[in-house]
Formats: sequence, structure tokens, C-alpha cells
Amino acid sequence: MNEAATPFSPIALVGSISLLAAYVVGAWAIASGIAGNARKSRRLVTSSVYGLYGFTALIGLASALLIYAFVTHDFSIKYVAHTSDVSMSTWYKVTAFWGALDGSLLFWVLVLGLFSTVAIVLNAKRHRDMIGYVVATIMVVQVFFLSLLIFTKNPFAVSLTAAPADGQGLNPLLQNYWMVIHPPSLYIGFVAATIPFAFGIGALASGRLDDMWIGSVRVWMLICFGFLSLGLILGGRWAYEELGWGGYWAWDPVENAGMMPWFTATAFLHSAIIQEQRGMMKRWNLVLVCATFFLTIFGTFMTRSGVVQSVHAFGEDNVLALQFIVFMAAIGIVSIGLIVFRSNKLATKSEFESFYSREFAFLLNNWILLACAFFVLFATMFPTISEALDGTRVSVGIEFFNRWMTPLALILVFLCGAAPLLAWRRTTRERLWQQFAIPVGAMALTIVVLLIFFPQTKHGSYIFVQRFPLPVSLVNFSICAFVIASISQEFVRGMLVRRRQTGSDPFTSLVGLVISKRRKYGGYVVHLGVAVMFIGFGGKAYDRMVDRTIERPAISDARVTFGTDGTATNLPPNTPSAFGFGAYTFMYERIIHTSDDHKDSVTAQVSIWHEGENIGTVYPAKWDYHKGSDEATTEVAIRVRMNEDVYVVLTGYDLDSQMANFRVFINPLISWVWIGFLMLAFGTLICLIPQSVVDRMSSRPRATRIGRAADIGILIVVIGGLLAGLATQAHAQGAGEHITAGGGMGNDGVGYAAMNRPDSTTSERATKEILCVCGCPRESIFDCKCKTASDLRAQVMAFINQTDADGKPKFDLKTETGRTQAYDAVLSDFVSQYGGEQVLATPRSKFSWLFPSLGVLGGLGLLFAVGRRWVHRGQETVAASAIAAKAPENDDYADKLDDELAKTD
Amino acid sequence: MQNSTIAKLALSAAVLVAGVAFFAKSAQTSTQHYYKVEKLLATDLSQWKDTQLKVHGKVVAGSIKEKVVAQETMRTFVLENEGKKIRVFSKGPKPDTFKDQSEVVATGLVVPSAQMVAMAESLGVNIDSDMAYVVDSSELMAKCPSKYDGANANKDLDSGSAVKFK
Repeated sequence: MNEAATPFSPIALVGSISLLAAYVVGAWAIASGIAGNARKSRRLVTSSVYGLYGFTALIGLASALLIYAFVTHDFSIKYVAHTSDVSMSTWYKVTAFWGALDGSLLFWVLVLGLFSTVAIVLNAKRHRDMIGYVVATIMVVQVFFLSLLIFTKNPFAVSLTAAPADGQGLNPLLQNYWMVIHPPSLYIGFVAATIPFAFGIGALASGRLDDMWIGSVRVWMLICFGFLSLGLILGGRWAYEELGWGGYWAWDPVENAGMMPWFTATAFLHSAIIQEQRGMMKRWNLVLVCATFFLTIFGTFMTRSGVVQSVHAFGEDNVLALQFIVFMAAIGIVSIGLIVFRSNKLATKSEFESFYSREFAFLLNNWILLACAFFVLFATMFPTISEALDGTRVSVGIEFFNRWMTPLALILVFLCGAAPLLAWRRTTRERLWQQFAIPVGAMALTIVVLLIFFPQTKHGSYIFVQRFPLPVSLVNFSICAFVIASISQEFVRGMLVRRRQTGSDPFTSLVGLVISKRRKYGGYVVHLGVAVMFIGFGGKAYDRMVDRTIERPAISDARVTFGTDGTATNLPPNTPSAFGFGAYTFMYERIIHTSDDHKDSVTAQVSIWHEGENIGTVYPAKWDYHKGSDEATTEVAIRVRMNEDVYVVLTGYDLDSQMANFRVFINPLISWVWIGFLMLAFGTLICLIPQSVVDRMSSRPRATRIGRAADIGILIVVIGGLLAGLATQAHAQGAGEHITAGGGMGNDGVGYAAMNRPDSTTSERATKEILCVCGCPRESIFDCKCKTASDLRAQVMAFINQTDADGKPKFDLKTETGRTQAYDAVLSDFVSQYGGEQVLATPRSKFSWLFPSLGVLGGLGLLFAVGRRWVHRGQETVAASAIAAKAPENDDYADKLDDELAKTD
Repeated sequence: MQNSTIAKLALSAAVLVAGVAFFAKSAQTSTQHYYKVEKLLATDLSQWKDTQLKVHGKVVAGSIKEKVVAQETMRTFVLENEGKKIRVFSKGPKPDTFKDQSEVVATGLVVPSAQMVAMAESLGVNIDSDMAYVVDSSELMAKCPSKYDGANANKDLDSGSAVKFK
């Protein structure tokens, strides 16, 4: 019998040794951390801290080796062979690191290692009496995940037989740019929750239960909140673009796994403020910290054990499930045990004084967030629970989640606007009126305007039970108006106070206010973002969907004429190739079948008409990868409009008859979801700006002459950032359409990509230099796969190969001079034809690189200068008026500002 | 223990109990049951009126009839499992892997056959006289054989427990 030898991989060997060494180091760090703090031995505590650093270094080495194995195609490692192949781009090979269970666990350990290293470096001296416990807690979590890696899911396991020549490739659904950042974002959010938990356990174990630990963990919980938010929204965007069902959120168990700790983390961020301000809710905050961490582990358990079914769960594994259950039980017992043990030290200093107080609003917010978390938990586990109870697997649908979550969410959104209007301790009746008059007026006005101009907002939806329809979207829009008015009022009043104190102009005062009270006003920006997102969610009530089967494309209809770009120029009445839906008419123009080394692609060309005008051509497609599932992936085409998205899916086709099935969604207001998220992310970033950065900007006070120009510069930078974010979705749309135009084929494929390929080195150079004008993101006509590029390539070749009246070639391509003349001439021809050098990949001026470089440098200079100006302008004016003029976060100054602002509360 | 503390605890417990009871009551009307064909046919089909079900079986070879009427694709086919059969009607798209002998989960309502006679005639099929009820499906999911981890969750469709939920 001829047996193949077991392949030897030095990468796998060193990787496995790294993991084993990390295991030993981790175990030592746990023991020395606990013993060090218990025996008050500084040496042992220091040893545990260095153990954590060593652990991170070893995991870093293992991760680097695994990535190296992916990039160098070391298919003797089973994990590499299972999740990659030679044809994948390097970027997706790196992504494959976390593309399946084994690697994702290693990625988890790596991220936690990096985070914990940063957290310990920053806090080791500050929390010396508990840092051993903190390190031990972190390392227990690390060792748990590492044990899974070593004993059951080793990513360095090698094949027992000869290594395959090629790997199986990454799941096609994961080969999407959103998936490059969506899973790491969620992981980082999950992992960040471990740091607050470790500090909470450290505080409980050491008995140091003053408010100090809260300050240290708040930033980490904010990072957890920010990355969970990012991960959830990117997951939604991925589902919207990739899965083809027209929505972005389906209450899938894996989505819910990320949502549950988001609720508790959000609750903590609010209740921590109450502890800091009033010394209340100490026990509650510890419960939230432990619950958030528990839910991150529970979410991981749900997605990796197979206990629930999901479109993107990792599969069923009973052994893994048992290991997670034991670990979760240990977390629960230790957390509850320590909280009960330290109960007497967690007594609250003060009581709630009034329902009309900010702390009560925060408490209400906490209750509802907890209710949301538990509702999502039970509803997600409902099939599992029902199966355990009576053996029948019963699930609840999206509608059930929506009926419950909508009213809870609307109360939360209302609180986003109401809580900032309330004062701490008690709000007097006069102040209530003063604060609520404008927001409530905006709310009432919104209702009236919507009822008059948009009567469809009366549309009834069900909440809780399916009996009484209520105008939920009308309520939603009015609450959003309330929040926007409330937060705007807070900004305006704060800005007026600051302006009075500093004498600055309104814009400088506003920015100075935000920078000096980053946490407060960053939080308000987050609230504003939430309200904007809910405007987008409200549009969901009006989305529409239709299925149509078109038996013949317009290309076979003699009445339809086509332009040079291959798209239809007219829409004949009653053409069987078209169908109407909403205010649009869709005409199926042609079907394109292409193929390359990776996949077969079938693309439909569909023009969209609105009020008789062609508003664009889209290319929904199906890609059938040669490797992988039998089911083709759906490549949707989205036409983004200001008020709604037109979302076209090719749901089926018959190449012989050219029949095609389409599903079209009209999704109103959906862009506001993405815009609102950008605001939420912006607000979170404001909250995370460290004091040291503000201090550094104010270290060399001087007046700047850049003045208002700098203000405008920074405004441009900020708006540019927002637009850049927005552009990502436009890019997604553009790229999607662009790729599908030619079926996403390589240059050696068939279809338009393979047509009119350059016939000489000169034409190849020229086609690489000229950009396609089809709307793609600056691809050359050499690379672009669309019909336009194909036509332009033909034009280039015709120009270069043109002959004079005697039949002689105009350019002598046998000589260097002739080739240069031909190259320059064809480029000049295109520049004149398209009215500028924007058609070229590199503008021909020798100094063209200088301008963008100067722009970037100038922008950075403006950013720094104006930042300092904002900080100093306030300080100098305040100093002149003998008011304490220190750093913006100076306590006296901040207290004074608070007092002033309180008068406006 | 102070009276105010007892009152708080009692109030919290009451809110919790009421919430859970309301949740359970609400969930009762929103559940989706999953049945293999033979298990479904063993129940009293009239009880499923207006209730969304997931029905799982294999497509009987040659039973798929499809037609495009007014730009809408209509189809009917027969699902079978362990010798028991039920006819399914659906409109709109179908999964790429939907074909003869493929495993399919049809989500929809169980309705009296009389309700679907017009559609059956339009498709040129006769509903068997022993089929008093048929499935009016709003969504079809076909089992998707895959080498990927995510699909392993669905590999034991035969065991009757795992369904790929959207």
C-alpha cells in the first residue's frame, strides 16, 4: 500500500509551540497575579504583568505565522487549506485568518492580548493593589480560549496525508469588503468587554470599591460600545448588499449575539454617570459589567456551538458547547458570589429624590435596555427552549421581534432627548416647561406637517400584540423631531453660555464647548445619530417589494434603440421587456454570461426610468463560484436616491430563452440609517478623545492669525470625513455595478473584459493610462470589464493603427519615436474629447503630485492650528477676565460651566 | 427589611411576572412550527388555518409545473417524505438548488385545496382528490449542500430538527 507521508510544516510546528508556551505563561500569570495581590507581593504582581506581556507576544507570533501560512499557501496546514486557495487576493487571504472557527478563536485571543496589554500598561501603577487580580481575570479568559485552540481547534493542525495542491477557498459570501471589517469590529467589541469585567472582578476581589475603577473601565466600555455598534452596522450593510433580501436586519441569532452586550454596555455607560455624579448604583454597575461580559461569551457560545441555527453560525459542536457552558457557569458563580460577598461595601450613598430627575431618566433607560437584552435573549433561544420543553422546535419570526422591540426602542429614543433636558436630583415645574417647550413644539409640528403633507404616515403597525394597529411610524418621526430639537437646544444654549464667557464667535464657542466637555457633548452627538438612524428605521414601514418574470430582453425588441454605450435610449410603450413598480419603470435590456478561473457570472442589464427619463442602468447578477456551494451568490444592484433606494435582485434566469426573474425593493429613507450611524461613530470618537491630546494642543498658547480660515478648514475636514464615510456606500454601489457590468471577470475572461484587447505595446500602455468613463472608481480601460471600456479600447487601437490616404500607417510603431508619438497623440485625443485630464490615470504635469501633497499637508496644518485656536481662544479670554483659565477640563472651570449650563437646564 | 424595600421588591416581581406572561402570550400567536410532511399530515390540518408553517420534504420527480402569467412566475410541486405527500403552490423566485428530488422547506399557510383550484388550472394540474389541504407557500428554501462550516448547521435536516432560518 502506497501511503503518502505526513507533510512537515515548520510554520505549523513553531505555531503550535507558541500556543503551548503561551498556555504555560498564561497559567503562571494567573497564579502569580492572584497570589501577588493576596499576599501583597509586588514581585509576584510584577511577574504576572510581565507574564501577560509575554503571553501577548507569543500569541502575536502564532498569529503572524498563521497569516504567513495563508500568504505563502502552506496547504499542509488544514485550516489554511480549508479556508483559502491560491487564486484569492492577498487581502482575502489575510481575512481568512478569522474566516472560520479555529482562526477566529486565535484572533479573539490576539485582540484580547493587545487590548489587555494596553490596559495594563496604562493602569498598572494606578491600581497596584488590584492589578494582580485584573491580570489573573484576563488570563483566565485567555487560557480558556487558548485551551479550546490547543485541545480541539488547533489552527496549526496539519494534514495526515500529502498537502493538497490547492485549498478549498473562502466562503464566497465572506469575499466582500464589508466582511473584511465587520467580524473584526464585532470581535473587538466583544473583547473590549473583558477589560471592564477584569477591573470589576479586581475591584470586588481586592475590596477597592470606591469610584476609581469606574473611571478606568468607562473608556473600555465605550470602546466596546463603539466597536459593537460598528460591527452591527457593518453586518447590516453586508446583509443589505450581499444577501439580496432587501433588508439590513433580520434578528438573526448571530446579529442578536452582538446586540445583547450592546444593550448592557449602553446601560452601563449611562449608569456609570449616576455613580460618578451621585454615588449611586454601585452594585448595579458591577452587575452590568459582569452581564456585558457574560453576554459576549454567551453570544460566542450561541454562534460556535450550534445551539441555534443561523445563516452565519459556525456549525454544531457539542464538545465546544459543553466547554462554553462550564466556563459561563464559572463566570456566573464567581461574579454573583463576589458581588454578594462585597454587598456591604456596595451600599448606595444617596437616594432618588424625584421622578423628574436625570438620574431617574437614566434608571428608566437602564431598565428598558435590560428588558431589550432579555427579550432578545429569550426570543433568540425560543426554538431551543421550546425543543427542550416539548421536543418541538418552534421559532418566532422577524415580526415578533419588531412588535416588541419597536415600542421599547421608541421609549429609549424619547429618553435620548428627554434625559438631557432634566436636571440632576430634581427638575422644577418652571424648568420643565422652559426645557421641554421647544422640543415638544417641534414634535407637535412634525405630527401636523406629516399628517397634512404625508398622510401615508398614518399607516398602522402592530406593537406587542396583533390587535390594534397604531401609527407607529408617525410616532417614530415625531419622537425623532423631539430628540433633534432637544439636542440642538442643548448645543445652542451651551454655546451661548460659552460665548458669553469667552467672547468667541458662535462656531468657535460651539467647538470649544464640545472639546472641553467631550463626554457630555460627544454623548449628545451619539443621541442625535440615534435619532437620525430611527428616521431611517421609520422608512421600513413603507418599503415595497415586487417579483417579476420577464420572458424577453429589450435587445430582441426592434422598437428599442441602443446608444454607443450599449444602454437603451428609449422606452417604448407597452414593451414586454419592461415593468412598472412604484414611480419607476424597469426595462430588462440584455443578459450577459461570462466566466473566468473563479466563477461563472450571469448579469442582467436593467435600465431604470422615472417620469420618462432614464435615471441609470443597473447590473444585478448571480455569481457561481467554481469552488464552494452549489448555490450562486446574489450580487444586488442598488440605485441610491436621496429619498429611497431602488434595490434590484436577479432572482433567476434561463440562458437559453433569456428569461429573467427580478425582485425589486423600494426602500425609503434607508440612507439615514447609514448617515445616523456615522454621527453615532463621530460622537463616540469625541467621547474617546483623551485629555492628554487636548492638553498637548494647548501646551504652547499663542494667538493665531489663521483665524476664520482655519475654522473653515477644519469644517471642511470634518465634513470631508463625513462625506468620505458616505462615499463608502456610494462606492459600494458604484463598484457593484461596475463589476457586474462585465460579470466581474479578469482580463483573460470572456465577455466585454475579453473584447478588444490591446494589439500592441503602445495600445496596452495607452489603455492602462486612460480611465474608463462608465462610472467605475477610476479603473483604466485596460482593467475595466464593462462594455464602455471595451468600446474605448477599440477606439484607442483604431487611432493608433490609423492610416493615411495612401494606406500607410500614421504612426511607425516599429520605432521608439513612432510609438511615443502614437501614445502622446492618443492621450491628447482623449483629453480633448473628454474635456480634460481627468480621463487620465496620471495627469501629465510633472508637478501634479505637488498639489495633492500640499493639500494634505495644508489640511493637517490647519487641523492642528485651528484645534489650538479653539482651545486657547476660550482660555485667553477667560484669563483676561480673571476667571480661572487653565486647561479646558480644569475642574473649577468645568464646574462653573456646569453651573452656568445648569441655569439653562 | 424596610417596608419600602419590600414594596420595591414586590413591584419588581409583579412587573417581571406580568412581562413574562405577556411575552409568552404574545409569542403564542407568532410562532412558526416546523414539520416534516408525514408529521404534518398526521395532524388535523384544519387546525393550522392562518398559521405560518415550515413544511419539509423532497420534491417529487416530475411534479414541478411552472408558468409565467402576467410577468409573474407561478409554480406547483409535490413534497414527499416517508411516502406521504402534500402539494405546494408558490409564486415568485425559487432557490437555485430547487429541482426534482431536492430537499425543500416551504414556508406558508396550509389552506383548503378549493382555494387553489384556479391557480392549479392555470398551471394545468389537477389536485389529487385525497389532498384536502395544500400549502400556499410564500418562501421556498432548498437544502444547500456546502463544504462551509455555516452550512453544517443544516446538515442534519434528515433528523428533523435543524432548519436554516433566514
